[in-house]
Amino acid sequence: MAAWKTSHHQPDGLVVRGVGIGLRSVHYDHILSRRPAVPWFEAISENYMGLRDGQGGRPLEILRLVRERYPVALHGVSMNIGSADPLDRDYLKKLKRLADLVKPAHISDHLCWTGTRGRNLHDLLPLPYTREALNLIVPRVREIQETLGRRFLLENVSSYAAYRHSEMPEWEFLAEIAERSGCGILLDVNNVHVSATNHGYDPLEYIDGVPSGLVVQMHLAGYSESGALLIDTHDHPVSDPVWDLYARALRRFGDVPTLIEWDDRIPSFRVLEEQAARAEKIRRGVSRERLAPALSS
Amino acid sequence: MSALRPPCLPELQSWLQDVLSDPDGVDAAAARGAANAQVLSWILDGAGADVRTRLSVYSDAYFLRLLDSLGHDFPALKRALGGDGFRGLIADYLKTNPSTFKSVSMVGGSLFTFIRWHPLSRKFGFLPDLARLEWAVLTCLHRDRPETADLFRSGALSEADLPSAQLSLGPAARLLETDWAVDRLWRRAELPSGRGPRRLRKKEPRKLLIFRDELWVRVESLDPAQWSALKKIERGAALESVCRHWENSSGFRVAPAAARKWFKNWIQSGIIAIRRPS
Repeated sequence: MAAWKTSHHQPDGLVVRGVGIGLRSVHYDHILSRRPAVPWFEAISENYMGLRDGQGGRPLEILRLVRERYPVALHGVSMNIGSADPLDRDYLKKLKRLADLVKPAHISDHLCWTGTRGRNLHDLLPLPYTREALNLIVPRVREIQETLGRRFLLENVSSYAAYRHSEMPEWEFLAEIAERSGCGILLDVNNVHVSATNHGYDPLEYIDGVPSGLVVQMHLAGYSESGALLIDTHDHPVSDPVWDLYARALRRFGDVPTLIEWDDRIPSFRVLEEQAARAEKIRRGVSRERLAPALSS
Repeated sequence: MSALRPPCLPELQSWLQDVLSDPDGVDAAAARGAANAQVLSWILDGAGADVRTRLSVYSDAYFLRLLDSLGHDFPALKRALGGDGFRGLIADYLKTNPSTFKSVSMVGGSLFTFIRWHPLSRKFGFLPDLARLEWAVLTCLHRDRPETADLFRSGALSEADLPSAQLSLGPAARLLETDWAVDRLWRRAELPSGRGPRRLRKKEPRKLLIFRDELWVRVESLDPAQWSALKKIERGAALESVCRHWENSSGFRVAPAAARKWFKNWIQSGIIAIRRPS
């Protein structure tokens, strides 16, 4: 188990650095024809697994063309790791096949459930943070890592509902799964802000509650407001409170690779590059802060 | 007030799934059964939003996400019905066909079967054919093209092998016989609703070939000789058997030069796959 803990990287040593951008079909032509200077892309795994028969078709051809030019990470939405249903091993095999073709720097999914009794609600539903759920998920993460032959990353989700019978805060739940299974954490800073607002806790408590060595990647995105709730719509620029929280996260977790996500009402690629440039500026500022004491001594 | 014993994970998820996917919304689902009402008591309220508001975020998103995804996968169907009509059709569809798939792209796989029995098809007879065509397009997009050209390049196959080579339809190609000229609607799928016809008024049978080219998916209407050849190939016929079929069928007059051109094009386009000679 602990073997996965020793490496943040994929078996052949590919590493992603800096601020990447989520790969979306509306930008395929731009990326392949203009070859923008982006350090890496993240692809939604299920979009490249094909339909029933597991052939990837044209979407996979495009992903492989992108991969010839850029490092790529794979990010899934349907592992359903927290479901009462058994782990879907057929899905896991397809993910392994995709990973063997694409050789991604990271493979990740969400700490949530997406359906039960064989159904899929296509949403990232929150778990009760209980021992029962921990004991279900930890061995599944180990199995996933054994199958993939590499470290797996789990992302915190935005949530709009929490359970009375949770036994610990979300950050403790996430950290314990990572520590016991050896997986890494993909910390979505926007999700921390959205969930903290929706449930009335301090987002800094969340950031400070996650052990620093476990975070391997971060996500940034925009949200919408709906009454008293923030909704993780990925259809706006990153908000000011999230930029502030990102700087705080960088100070705590170090210079881990970061991704700009935008999934609805997707703007021109230039807008995404501007968001990435702003994240990069914050990264550099925090790096300088971290180096300053060493340089002055 | 919560019951004394919290629900175990399978109970909680099963109840929540029923509540969140209820087509009539959270309140109606809660009113429908004691078990559904009980699950609400385990959700925290406060921070400015009550439990029903919180669960409605998920409940609304479930339908809207699938409606949006199916609208992308069936653009001509959506254009033909208009936004409200399409929304009503999808609401009915999801009641009896909830997603069991990992990818949202697969959710529409039963839509053309469902729509045959839907009242809208009595009004607009072309709808089942249109849904069938759009699903075939999506299926072809997600299939790999055969590597026939590579067999030629590597020398594993020569032109002399072709007459007796075992042929099949390529995995990214489909043949579709329709009662309506739905390919005309499919070509206009991306047009605004005010431009060009959105509906068909009378039947016009079509024999359609759907296939992936190097960039995306194409739909072509075939003449009877081309259709009969590809149907035979779909069943695994060799090239020489297809040519004999043409010679023996009085309805077809296919010049050898035209036949060569068709086959060359079909092989190069990946419409026909060739089994490597053993």
